[in-house]
Amino acid sequence: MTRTIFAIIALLGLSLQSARAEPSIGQLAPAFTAIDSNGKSRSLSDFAGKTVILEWTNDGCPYVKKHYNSGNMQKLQQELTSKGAVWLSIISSAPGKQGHVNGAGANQLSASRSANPTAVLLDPTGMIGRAYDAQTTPHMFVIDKTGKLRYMGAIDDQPSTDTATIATARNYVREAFAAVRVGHVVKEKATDAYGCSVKY
Amino acid sequence: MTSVLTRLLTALTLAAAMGASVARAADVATTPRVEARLVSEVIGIPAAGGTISFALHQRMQPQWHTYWRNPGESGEPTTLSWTLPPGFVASDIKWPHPERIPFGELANYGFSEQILLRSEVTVPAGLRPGDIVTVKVDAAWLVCKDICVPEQASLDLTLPVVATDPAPNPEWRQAFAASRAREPSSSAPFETRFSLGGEAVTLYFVPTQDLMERGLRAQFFPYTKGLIKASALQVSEPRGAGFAIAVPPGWRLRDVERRGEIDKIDGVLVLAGGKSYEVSLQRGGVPASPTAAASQMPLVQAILFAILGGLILNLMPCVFPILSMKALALVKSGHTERPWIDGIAYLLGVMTTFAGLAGALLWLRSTGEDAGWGFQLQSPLSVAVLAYVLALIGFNLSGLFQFGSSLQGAGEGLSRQGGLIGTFFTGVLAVVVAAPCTAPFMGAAMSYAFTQPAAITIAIFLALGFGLALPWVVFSFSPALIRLLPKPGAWMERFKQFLAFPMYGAAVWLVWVLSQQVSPEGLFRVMIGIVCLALAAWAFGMAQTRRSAASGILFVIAFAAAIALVTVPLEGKKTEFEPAAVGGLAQPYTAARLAGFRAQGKPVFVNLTAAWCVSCLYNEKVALASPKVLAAFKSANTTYLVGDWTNQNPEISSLLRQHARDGVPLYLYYPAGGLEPEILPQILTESLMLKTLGTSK
Repeated sequence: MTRTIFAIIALLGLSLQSARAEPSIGQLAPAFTAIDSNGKSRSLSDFAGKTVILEWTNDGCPYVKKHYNSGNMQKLQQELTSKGAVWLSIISSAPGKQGHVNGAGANQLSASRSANPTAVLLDPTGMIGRAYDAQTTPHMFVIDKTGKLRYMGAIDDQPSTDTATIATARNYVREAFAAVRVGHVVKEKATDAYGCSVKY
Repeated sequence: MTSVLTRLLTALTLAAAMGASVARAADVATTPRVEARLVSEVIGIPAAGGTISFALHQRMQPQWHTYWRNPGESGEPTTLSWTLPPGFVASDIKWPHPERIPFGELANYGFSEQILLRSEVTVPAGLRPGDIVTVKVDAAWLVCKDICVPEQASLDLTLPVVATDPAPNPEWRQAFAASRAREPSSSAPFETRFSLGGEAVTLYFVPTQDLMERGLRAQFFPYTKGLIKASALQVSEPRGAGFAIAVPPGWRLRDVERRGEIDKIDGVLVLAGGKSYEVSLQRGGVPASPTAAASQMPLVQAILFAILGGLILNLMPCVFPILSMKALALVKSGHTERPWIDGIAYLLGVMTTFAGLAGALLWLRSTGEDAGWGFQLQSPLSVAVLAYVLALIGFNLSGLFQFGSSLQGAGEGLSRQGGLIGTFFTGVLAVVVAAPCTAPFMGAAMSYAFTQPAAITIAIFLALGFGLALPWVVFSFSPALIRLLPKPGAWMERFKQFLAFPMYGAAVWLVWVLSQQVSPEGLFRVMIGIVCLALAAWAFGMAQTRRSAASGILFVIAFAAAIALVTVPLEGKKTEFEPAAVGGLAQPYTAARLAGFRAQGKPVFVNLTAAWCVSCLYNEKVALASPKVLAAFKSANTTYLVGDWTNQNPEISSLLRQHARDGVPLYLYYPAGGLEPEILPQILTESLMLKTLGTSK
């Protein structure tokens, strides 16, 4: 009984915290620790000294499908990680909701869509998602070597499910990474994320 | 009668024809989630031209929804792309106002059950009655429940060209009427503004009296994404002459660097009952929310507090250098015939400056700025100018030059008239320099001031000034007190020279404040500027005594150099202010961080401070940095958050405002368990801190 009450209080506390947490550009990105798809514990602080890309994903979402079926997301993952970025795909779908997977499921998914993230983080409680105010899939964040948030928002400037728009799209994440890498100011620091809502 | 019958029959026949065509043509597309249909408001195309309406009607399965022009936190609006005969032109969708559709913790703006998305089509004149016209639309929409599915349909509709005005489409007449009723009216009977705090965007509407009540359950839907947090519940409350909705900002208005560029918010205001208006909110002043503490205070009490606060301000360290000047002036004027004239001049100087400051603050707020007590010290330029002024007074007291007529001897003092002006400006200076100090009782009086009409605001500020000047005025009016003063003599000159040193001290302090605000280069410029100023003062003094042209020229050059050095923009790299007294314990304040610790149930102590706030630094040194207090912080496991208001910071302004304050310091103690905070006094002591922290165990 006591444990249940504590659990409820903890949950209430978490929701209160999440309601107030607002990531902001130029400030330290919210810290987190999560279990990845291989059962390994990963913290943002593990990657100090590297540029970190966060990608919120849900394989059932048509906007995510647009970027994976076209190979666009995999290509970006490959390109940026080969230049030293750490790419963390984060799944915040709650159990029973669209996109929710366990570790094995996530690995299978990565294999089936030839994804190349550094790690896939499982966030079934939505704690990381709420800390970042992640609203859509995809929702992208770029964190610099010192742990400061440099970009948040959409992957590109084409808010649609139409694959044909990718060819001419302006990819904000690629742009932000290129700027952060050489220490330049990111031109578009924040944009409207587009896509399906995160299934908390 | 016959003609009416004929027309009715014609309409019925046409309607029947329409019904038949519905079955035949591809004017409907059905998916497992949406039945989409292309419909016309009238049954025929007017041969003489005009404007008619076509629409996409979506009927959603239960719990599925499509999106408005701004879809909210996710989703995508429905799009219509028309293919029309030559000369026909279709407008954008005339969006009906949306409903707020919560999904978990997020929210969307959209439509459930069914919606009619109407476009107006301009028909050219000169069509041939009897001809057949085909309109085509490619519609695309996203439909979501717990999952989302993008869908599209190509629909067409065939209509005959008719000679007279086409009759309404009986089947869809009601749906069109309902959709039109849901479109926002473009002429809103409202005055609208918005203002920006750290944690909230306040949308302010002053409607005509008859709409006031329905406004109190109003909802606002912005056209642009990311301005306000769509998932936040909107609560409308009476404010000023109308009502206000305070909502957390979206990312666009959280971006401190760029939010200044956003000067209006366009969108739709939906009143209770469903009538909606298109509104454009300009950035501007919004009456403050009457906080409990402030609204309950009677005016008389607020004025009394203000006078008391002003009185106590005399004891604050900020005013010390000025007090020393006053002391000297007192000795000088005390033995004149009518010393009270000096008292009045000082009072006038103080009150005029307070009124001026209140006016400036009111004006800043009317432009939607976040400004509070001490705002003038948040600008590096005004800090630099103040440092110059204090240094100049110091040079004067040291005897480098004389104010006023050049031929007066140093010991003679200023002329009677010059003395009065001098006393007036001593008053001005006292207020300007007092800004970094907030005295007890001042905070409450000032936050009251800003919830009131402008006249009362200024009255409260005048009362503050009256309090500050009061001891000096009382002295100047009392011959008995004046008799206690020592006789003027040669000692005065020495005393005057001695008084230069507190002035230099104050100038050095301001330069230190500046070091928190500008880059090292900027700081260097100001310091060199002060050296130039000293050179200018010396040259001026020589010109006064010897009337030498060379000194005059030197003065002009040095003075111009001093001015030039500060007028180059001083905005440099802003360094983070590290309060001296934190012993490695403090973390910078952010609203999120505070909420996080409170949610964990931890006790939190919040210190809102600024480098230019002397009472803050005093408290930090005396009460907060004491080893006993630091140990108590650790043993009570209390988190120490420091909010630095040296430069503008909307998050801190907002926290101040929440506690009915307009300036620093503010000390808040949040007990364990996420309880409401206790506001500590503006002067802290070690024992008070130990007692406060001890209660958290």
